[in-house]
Amino acid sequence: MTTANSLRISELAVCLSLFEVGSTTLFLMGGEAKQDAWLAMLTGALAGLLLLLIHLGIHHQEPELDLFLLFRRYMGKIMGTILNLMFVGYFAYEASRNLRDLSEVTVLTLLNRTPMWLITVITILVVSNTVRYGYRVLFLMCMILFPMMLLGYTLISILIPSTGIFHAELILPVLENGWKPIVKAAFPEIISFPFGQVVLFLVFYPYARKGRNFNKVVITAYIVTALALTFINQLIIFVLGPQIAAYSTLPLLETVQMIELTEVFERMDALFTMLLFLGLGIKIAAFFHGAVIGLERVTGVNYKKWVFAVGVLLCGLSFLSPTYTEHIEVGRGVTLNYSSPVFQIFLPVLLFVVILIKKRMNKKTTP
Amino acid sequence: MIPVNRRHMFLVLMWVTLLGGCGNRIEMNDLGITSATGFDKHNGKWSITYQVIVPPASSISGSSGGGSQSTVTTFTSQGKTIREAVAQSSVENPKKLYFAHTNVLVIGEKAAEQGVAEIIDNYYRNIEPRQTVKMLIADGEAKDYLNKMVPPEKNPGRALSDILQRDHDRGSYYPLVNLHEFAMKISSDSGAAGVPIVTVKGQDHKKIENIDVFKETSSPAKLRLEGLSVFSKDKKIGKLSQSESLGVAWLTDQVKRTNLRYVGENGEINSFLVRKATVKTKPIKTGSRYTVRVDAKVSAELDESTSQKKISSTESINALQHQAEQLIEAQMMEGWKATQQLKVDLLGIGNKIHRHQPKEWKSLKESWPEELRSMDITINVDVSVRRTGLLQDSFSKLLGSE
Repeated sequence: MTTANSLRISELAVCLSLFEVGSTTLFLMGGEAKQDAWLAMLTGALAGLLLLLIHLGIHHQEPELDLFLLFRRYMGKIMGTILNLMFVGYFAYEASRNLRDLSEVTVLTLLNRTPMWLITVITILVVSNTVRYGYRVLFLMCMILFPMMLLGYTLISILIPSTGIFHAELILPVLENGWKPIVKAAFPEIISFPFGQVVLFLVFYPYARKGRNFNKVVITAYIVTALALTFINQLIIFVLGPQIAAYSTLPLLETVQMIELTEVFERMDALFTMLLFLGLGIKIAAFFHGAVIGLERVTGVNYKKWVFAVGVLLCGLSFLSPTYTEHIEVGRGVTLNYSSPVFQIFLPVLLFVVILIKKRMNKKTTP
Repeated sequence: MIPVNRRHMFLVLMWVTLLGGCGNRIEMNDLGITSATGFDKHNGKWSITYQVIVPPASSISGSSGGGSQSTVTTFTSQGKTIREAVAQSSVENPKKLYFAHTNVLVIGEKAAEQGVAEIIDNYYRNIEPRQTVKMLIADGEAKDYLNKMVPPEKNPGRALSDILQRDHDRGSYYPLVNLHEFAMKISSDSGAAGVPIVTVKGQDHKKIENIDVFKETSSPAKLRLEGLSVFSKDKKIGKLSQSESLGVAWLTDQVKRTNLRYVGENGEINSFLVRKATVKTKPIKTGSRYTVRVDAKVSAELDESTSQKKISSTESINALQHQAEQLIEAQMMEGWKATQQLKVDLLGIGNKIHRHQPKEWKSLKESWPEELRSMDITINVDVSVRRTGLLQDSFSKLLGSE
């Protein structure tokens, strides 16, 4: 249970950034707001920022304890263990969703005759191996993959406006139907995915080196990523138009398919799918880590022994939905609206409040 | 427990990961790469024609001249749905049809009149065909156009795609429409789009189906673009001529380079090369009705003249500019009248009103076609003839002055 304080703050921030981008570019966020999708994204990002501040507040109250230890200490033994197990379940479920997303995207686009279980198994093998080496390796991997993802998304962001498929006027009319559709799209859907998922990092904050600008770096990374995501999301609207974009399964993939520059840079599906793989892989690894560390905290068994079991569990969970349609329906309907807010908003706020109350009580009793 | 060596595990895992892609292996020789696809519809059944590249004959380093084998072969298959037709093609074609490199999509006239929504759905839903494929409407049946060669080009599908591109760059008579732009236009508020028509002209149409045509210097028949097919939503409803299409191209700011010719009273001619054009179309509300205001800024050059007047003075340049302005205005009016007659919003004015004045659009939406019919247009063209080339006054003037 050594909190070795061996992570640099920059590593944490980079991992947070890549984690946010992860699979967000897979879907069109805020599609109901039509051309105001960017406003919906920004609103969601703002609300997510508030959540992030709450999480950072929790962390600074007890800088040495991670999420699971916090629950144990402040909620009592039984309640704490139950909540920890719930969180482990939540992280495992999110990981399995991302795993399913990865397999579905692969089967839809690149390998359409390969059996899906094979893709799932290969992915889980690779990710399990990363998790087996510990959290330090995960963060270092993020540092290595960071230039690739940055380059990839920058390339897409530059190529799209410069090839004539970009129609700036598609963003008009702004606020055509007022703020209602924007707010409806943002709460709770955009908060749950992707901005609220930073609750996972409460598990990793204690491992970072303490420094005065810890908050600043994390918040800056979050804001920059949120802005970049809004821009990339809006690129979809700029190219496909709000109607076709809402009907498309993988809108950014369609957008990238349209790039045609000098007959050489055509059909850059592979580039974009690679970025998706990397992002999804990082997300799966991070959630996997969260679940495994949680199990270690609950049972005291070293997390390396849990990797295999959780890996198998993830494989199994990823086949929960028989069809892609149901997978998306459950994801965007049930998960986003009902289960995620509990873990991302409700429980952290509860924890924060309990910590504050208990600390105040302690202060009173120990003058 | 069998002692499992780490190396063995590693090898097994390697095999698993390396063989994972074997399910999707494709041999190049098994692919029938289509260069053009044609869609026809009879009695509710789709008839799809594929123009497939024959690799040995298409290679540049292959046999000289036409060789002994045609560079493309075509065949047709039928089905109630498009995908059924593709599946049916497997009963007569040994190769797997590969649509990713299709250059043009040719839609038969009758099929276009019945609606092309199914074709668009097919292209978006499946990963292989690209939405960037260029569209053409066939004057007649698409089948008849896919088996014709375009000498001296080896690949007719590619040649058609190049024709569309060149025309857009040089003549700007017809717009370059790919499937995605077409889909965006017809799903927008204006709901209208124009697609060029391909037709065949000449004495003997059958001859260009044979590769012997490559041996002749002058082809007995040629494929060419003629006319613009106008779509309202997904059905074809009318046709514009080349000059009307050019007018519409002006009004939608699609003109890159084109040529203007002015014929004077004495038969003298001036030819202008339009190098750059920016046209802004704006709907302006006057009272309760709308007028369209067109502002065009054009930069041209003089590239041919038999005028007897002095060209090398500012006042004659002004006269030339005035000539060009009148020509452009006339072309725009022609295009505008044609769209009004067809009652379609080819200019995308509905879209513009929706974008800039969304509240007015809500009340205008239902009666839009009638509103369009009675709309007026005011055109302001500003041409500047920047250069007159490497000759000052015209050669005819030189001859005349001796």
